[in-house]
Amino acid sequence: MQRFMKILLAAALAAPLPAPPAFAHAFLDHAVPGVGTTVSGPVREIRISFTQGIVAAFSHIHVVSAAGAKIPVGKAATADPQTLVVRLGRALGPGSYSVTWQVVSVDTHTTQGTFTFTVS
Amino acid sequence: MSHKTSLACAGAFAAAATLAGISPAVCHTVVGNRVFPATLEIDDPGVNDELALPSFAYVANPDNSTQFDYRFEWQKTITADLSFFVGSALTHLVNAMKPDGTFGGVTGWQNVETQLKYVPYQNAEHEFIIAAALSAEWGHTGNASVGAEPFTALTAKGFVGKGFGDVEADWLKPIAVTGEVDYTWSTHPITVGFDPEEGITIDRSPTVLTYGATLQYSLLYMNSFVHEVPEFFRQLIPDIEIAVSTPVSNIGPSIPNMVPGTHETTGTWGPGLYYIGRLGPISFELGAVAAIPINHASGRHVGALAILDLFFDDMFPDSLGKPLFGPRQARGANVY
Repeated sequence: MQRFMKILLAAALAAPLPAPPAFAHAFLDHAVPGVGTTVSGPVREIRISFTQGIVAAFSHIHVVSAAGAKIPVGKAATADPQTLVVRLGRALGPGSYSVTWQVVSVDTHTTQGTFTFTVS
Repeated sequence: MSHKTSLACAGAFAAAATLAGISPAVCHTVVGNRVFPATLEIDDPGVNDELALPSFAYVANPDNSTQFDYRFEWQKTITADLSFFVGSALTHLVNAMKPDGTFGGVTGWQNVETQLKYVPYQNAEHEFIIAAALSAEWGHTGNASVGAEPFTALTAKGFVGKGFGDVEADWLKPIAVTGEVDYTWSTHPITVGFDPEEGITIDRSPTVLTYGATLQYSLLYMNSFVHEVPEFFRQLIPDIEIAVSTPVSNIGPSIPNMVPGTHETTGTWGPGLYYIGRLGPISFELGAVAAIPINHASGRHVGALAILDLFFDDMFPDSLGKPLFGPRQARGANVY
């Protein structure tokens, strides 16, 4: 048992800790503003990094305030092959916002999701 | 081998098999925004293209032997909802009874197992999926010295999986449950033989009902849809798993002092942890589960299961990783 635990520990330590999750689907890896977080100061863009490369032409991000008002956004663009960015039509003031994203990964799978953040 | 001895061996190996999980078949499944990892005590409820090389089991058998299994499993999608599976295991027993009646180390292959698995329904929006499978463990393809049966065993399987991403409460969204029920019967349930010392012998291969479940809390899901988590933790899925086997028919008479008893339910449960990541072009899952016996008949002390699973659908999307016929399964949830 002790030997097995040593092997398991070695395998765990050998694992690539900072590596992204591996799927044939683009899932959200991290976002700015962060998923479920509270940020201070005005927010002027939404930046979402995914676990796979994405195609900007078939991907988009929508932002809605807590009151349901749609926030105007610019055209989605890629900051790098795995990061989608949209400029907001106006800086977001204090309040809660909902971000809905839909992306097509480079292997043609479509994924989508929603998260919220708060501007203090 | 006498009736009593053969039943004792069968019971010991059945207990060992239980400790190694309901089914050796493993895969990961994506339904909408939910990723069901390839769990170890039971199989997950979907089909995919992947190779488990190896999965590992360490078991303290109730007959005082210690068992190490090194298993390989390859699953290939035929269509987006239908897969074929083949697998086997190299077993090493320590302090086991050899064919000559002495005790020592024994190494050999378990029978080859094949399986057809079908997903008749899945709902991406509600992260719900059900599946059914028919598997065969082919007799005479393994080594009897490590418990491989001379007869084929067939198993009908049912699977279900549900993610709770569609509920209102944020803290519930990362939770998912999966379940599996198996019904296993032998193609030769009763074998009559002759032993020069004991005369006519009767060997029974009981029909067994096996059932299990997992309760998962996906930090992967939490990071994407609820609240961001630190980088390393966002790739983890901790869970609790259980798998239990009960002989239901063709059991034969009870034999006093036999461990495990012929009518006894055996099983294991324990916490598990799965890490999903990528190393260059290699997409993989690394997982481990503690196997805590539910009773004395299920093992002498805590065992362990572990797996390295390679995701062919991600590594070879245009060759080995896609269905032989038709398109891939469109699993994206419609959240609009």
